[in-house]
Amino acid sequence: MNEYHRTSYAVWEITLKCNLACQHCGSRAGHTRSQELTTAEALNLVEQLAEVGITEVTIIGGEAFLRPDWLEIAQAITSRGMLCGMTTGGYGISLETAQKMLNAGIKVVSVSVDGLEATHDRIRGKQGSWQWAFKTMSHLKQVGIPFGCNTQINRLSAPEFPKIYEKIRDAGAFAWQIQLTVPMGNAVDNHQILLQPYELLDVYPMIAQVVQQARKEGVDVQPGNNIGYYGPYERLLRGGDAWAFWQGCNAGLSTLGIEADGAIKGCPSLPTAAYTGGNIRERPLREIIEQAEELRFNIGADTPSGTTHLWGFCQTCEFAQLCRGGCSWTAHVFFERRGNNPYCHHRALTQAKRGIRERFYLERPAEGRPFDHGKFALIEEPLDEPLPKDDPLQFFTTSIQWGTSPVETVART
Amino acid sequence: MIEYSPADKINYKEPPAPLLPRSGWTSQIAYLRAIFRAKKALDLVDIEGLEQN
Repeated sequence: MNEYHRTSYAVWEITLKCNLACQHCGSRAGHTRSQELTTAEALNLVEQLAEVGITEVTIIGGEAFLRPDWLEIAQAITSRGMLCGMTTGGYGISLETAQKMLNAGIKVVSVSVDGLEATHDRIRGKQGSWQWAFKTMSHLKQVGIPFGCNTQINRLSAPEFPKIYEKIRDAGAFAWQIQLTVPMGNAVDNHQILLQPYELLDVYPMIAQVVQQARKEGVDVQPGNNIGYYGPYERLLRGGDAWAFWQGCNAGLSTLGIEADGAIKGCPSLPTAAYTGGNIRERPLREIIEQAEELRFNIGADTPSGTTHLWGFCQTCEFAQLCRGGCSWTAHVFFERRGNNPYCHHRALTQAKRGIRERFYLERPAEGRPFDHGKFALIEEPLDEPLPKDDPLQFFTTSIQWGTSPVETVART
Repeated sequence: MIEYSPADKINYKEPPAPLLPRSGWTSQIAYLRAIFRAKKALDLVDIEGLEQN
């Protein structure tokens, strides 16, 4: 798996049906969407994905395996020469199912692990989901499908981060994708679990230590799009190379997101309302990619329009042109528009040097639809001002439960 | 030698070129300038960190 380099990538929610009820779920998955694509439409979309240059497709949900024709879709992706991956909560993949996945050509699977057992089950809304996730991993291992894990970092999981790593390493994961939980869908309703921007100052040194350990032990840590941004651990987090650092949002450039009813976005996480470029029931995929402004907003980084969307701190930042406000999804779901990203390590450090602490609060709740968001407001306050007392989930360095492996000082490259 | 009829020429179609991945930058030089600036800034962050330690 180490020699493979992703070039163009589609993440396809093939159903919104789900057997878990996660506190952070951006798509509020649970029930099937009202007009999910038929098998014939899905297979036609596979053809179109190959034609526009997609080389890798990850099927997700909801829970992908709850769609009856999911293996037929996976097989079609593989037959068309694209790499088929899958992301799963892992609640219910038996040895027999794992064997069918292998036969359908599924090359790699990412299993979600969001904490140690009690935290994971709490976040995922189901007792036994942690046990099942690890059972699924053992089934994948038995049939020979390489698997990684993905973890949401929030105030519930962050204290357990080093121990989560040890669990997934011991289970045999070859890779670990990490990302910060952001306020979309259910996570808006449960916004108290979100890390506050000033807490990044304590979170990132911990992440860096664990990442360094993971790399040493052969687990490939893959930072999600809302991790890092030009802090002292940026290059360590992105692989350790001197040129490995965040280079802007790739939505619509190398990434596509597909919702189960055929809606096309530049990235699977983006809010439906503001970022859907069209529906493959109405227009060919090629036309949507070529023409829809919702999939072209990252084009022209070096033109005046490349930075006009920036505002707030990001507008004044020395990395503005390359970074372009970090992850578009993260910024948009906080403030209803992209271009000002509160989840930035460089920003938290710069503000701390100025004696400023940033904290957000919910100004308007979300309406309750899939991929929706609310609106948050940002407070800038003196760093030494007492923190709110009615905030029991606050994250501190002292909250971290270190694992059994020895902790080492982190190099900064 | 194979002879083609005019009809063959009319029916022949190039497969459409892939659209993805595509660059966000219109100028490769502008992109390189931006990543060199960022690398330089990160190198300075590292040097400052080493000096502090």
